[in-house]
Amino acid sequence: MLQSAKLKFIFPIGFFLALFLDGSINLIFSGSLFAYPYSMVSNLTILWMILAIFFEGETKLPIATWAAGVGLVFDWFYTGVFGVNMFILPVIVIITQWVKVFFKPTFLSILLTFFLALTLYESAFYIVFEIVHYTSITSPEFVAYNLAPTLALNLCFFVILYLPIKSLFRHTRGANFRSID
Amino acid sequence: MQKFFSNRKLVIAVICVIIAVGLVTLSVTTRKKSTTPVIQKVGNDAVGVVDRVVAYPMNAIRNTSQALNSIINTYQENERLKSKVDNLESVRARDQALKQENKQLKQQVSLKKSMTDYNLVTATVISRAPSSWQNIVVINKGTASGIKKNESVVAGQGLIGRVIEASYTTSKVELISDSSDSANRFAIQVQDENGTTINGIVTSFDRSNNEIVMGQVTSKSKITKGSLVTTSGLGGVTPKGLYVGKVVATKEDSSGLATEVYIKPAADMSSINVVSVAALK
Repeated sequence: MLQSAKLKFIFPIGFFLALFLDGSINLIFSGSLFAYPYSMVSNLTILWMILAIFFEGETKLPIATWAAGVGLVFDWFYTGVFGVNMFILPVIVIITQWVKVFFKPTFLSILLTFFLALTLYESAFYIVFEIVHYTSITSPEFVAYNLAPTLALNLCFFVILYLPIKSLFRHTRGANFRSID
Repeated sequence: MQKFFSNRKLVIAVICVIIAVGLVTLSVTTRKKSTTPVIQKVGNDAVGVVDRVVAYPMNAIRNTSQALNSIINTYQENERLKSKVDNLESVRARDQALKQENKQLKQQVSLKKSMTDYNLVTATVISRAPSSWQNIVVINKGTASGIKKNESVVAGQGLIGRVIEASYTTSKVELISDSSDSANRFAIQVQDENGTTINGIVTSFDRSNNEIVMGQVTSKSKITKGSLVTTSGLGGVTPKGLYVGKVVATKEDSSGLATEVYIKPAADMSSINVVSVAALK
């Protein structure tokens, strides 16, 4: 426990990096990501957050607090509507941490959790904007044209990034905990 | 397993919900105002600086791949453009003469400013919001370059949206393809067969065909396909004469009382890299 864990610094940096990379990826590949009527967005932020919950080991990162911070920056910089991601992200962290104890962290179970968390996140995000009338897309359209492609894209990211992120967390979470799965 | 909602947790949860609702309400009301609050501006710019650092290597990759692509297309493009250049020169000469005449006429009737007087401020897109149903891009110019909230934004050839938040060195642009209730309705106009101007507003965006819809047109006159649609300057927010697109179809709306005009936007809404903000003088 006394061993300093580099992860304590790497986690928040990676969190914010993921947030800005999302914006960048959406811009650079916008031609293919936003081919109307379909539109998919990269959600590396959620990916990083969910994987951190499973791979933190005994380091005990304040993930929910950081999630609130990242959510605040998201609201501030991208949408200008405060109090949306700032609360949705920590809630998703809390729910994931709560269900995590019920099953073994295997590749498939983490994939499924990520899938559900992303669905929950996108839906909650959409519902809030629907309530304040900042979007006029109907719910069936949202599921077919936005949610489904977004899930597909991010599951691809998950499959590609699962092992690199896992090894990164394993090697930085403090010497005492490397042996723990 | 302990009870998920103890009394204390419940109180905290309720307080969080109240704060969230309060913040959302506050944001919605501030967006309706004509300026962006200072604290929001400062935050936007601070985050913008970090974003630029992260985006720099990504943009370098994009520029390289674009350069490679353009090398391949250069020959064909050159052929096509050559034919347009001659035409452009004559249009420019005529444009200049008309501008001169317009200025003189305006002086005669002592009209100082009109809706066709606007400056274009060119800006680069630095980020795109990761929300798929709301299309917002962040650009790298702000109030320091003379950009104000609610100004219209054009990309390449045509209108793409409006500024919803202007900070000092960054601004947020909401695209016309968003078609949310809160988006400004752009006043646009098109000419019918006889040259009469038909005024209307952008009422929605048809996502499946990528077309702008100009609804509630009550005029029964016929609009030919391919007519040019421009902004009309009515309402005093959008300058007059910004190119929007071409008419592709006209249909009766569901009630049968009004006509809906479908417009193919001139700008490619999905991929936007450089934009110009039209600032009224």
